[in-house]
Amino acid sequence: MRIPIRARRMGISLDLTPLIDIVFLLVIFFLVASQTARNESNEKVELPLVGQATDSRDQVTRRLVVTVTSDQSLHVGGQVVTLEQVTGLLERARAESAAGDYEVRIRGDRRVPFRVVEPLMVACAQAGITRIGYAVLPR
Amino acid sequence: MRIPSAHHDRQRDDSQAMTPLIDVVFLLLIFFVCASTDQVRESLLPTELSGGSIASPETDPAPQPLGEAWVRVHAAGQDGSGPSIEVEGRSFSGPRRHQLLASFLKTLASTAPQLPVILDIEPEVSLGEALATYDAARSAEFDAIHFAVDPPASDPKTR
Repeated sequence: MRIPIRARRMGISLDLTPLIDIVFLLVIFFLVASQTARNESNEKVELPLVGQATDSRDQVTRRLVVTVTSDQSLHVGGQVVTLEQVTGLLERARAESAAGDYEVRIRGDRRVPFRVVEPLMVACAQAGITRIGYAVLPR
Repeated sequence: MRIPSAHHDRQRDDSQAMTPLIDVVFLLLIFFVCASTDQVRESLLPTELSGGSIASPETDPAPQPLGEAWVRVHAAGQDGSGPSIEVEGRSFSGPRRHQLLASFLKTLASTAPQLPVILDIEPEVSLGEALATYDAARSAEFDAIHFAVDPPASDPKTR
């Protein structure tokens, strides 16, 4: 009787399964990280409700997200900042980017008085940044 | 004696290689299902500002051929009355004030869309109220909507 013998390969065999696992994990990580960075949604705010909202995913290459929480404090990148610091960021951003290529997005709590947000608009206009967007929820 | 063939061994190897892949795919599926349930999709209310000098001298107003439509938003009164909106001599209050304002502004815009609309919002008005008013003005499709802001401290005669 002839017994089949599996030919033994010489050399190194590469198992791709752990590699695929790691690649999938990396994909998940970067998806979640980019989504968090895009929304800057670390600070919880109750966004204003409007009827004519547009899709927030536009083609602006550079953007500064300023969050105004219900305690009337300003947040940029998860850090509490003053209006002077925001003004400095705006002037630096304006100097580094082309005209119309920079957007300031204000994520303001709907209960915040307008006097807290108004200086942000003034600072944007004084820095020459004309594109402002308010983060809202569709009514 | 039954000797296992190489064919059966290969089948078992293939099925074992697929198992971690299926595990990861299910993990992904569960993750995205769980993550999407708590995700609120934010929208955008765009505003286009005029850059550079933001102030115009109050003492020398430029004459407009059609004038200007000032929309004044007043904060809630201490007597319990809610916020109110005043435009062209008419006042809107109550829960339907934004719909009534939008309707009035649409009528205005149908005759003079080039009329500049200026939003004068009191400091104590909430951001939600201010943006709802701005949204109502946008829905009327005027050519230009401006925000009136308080003058900077160094330049008290401008607005």
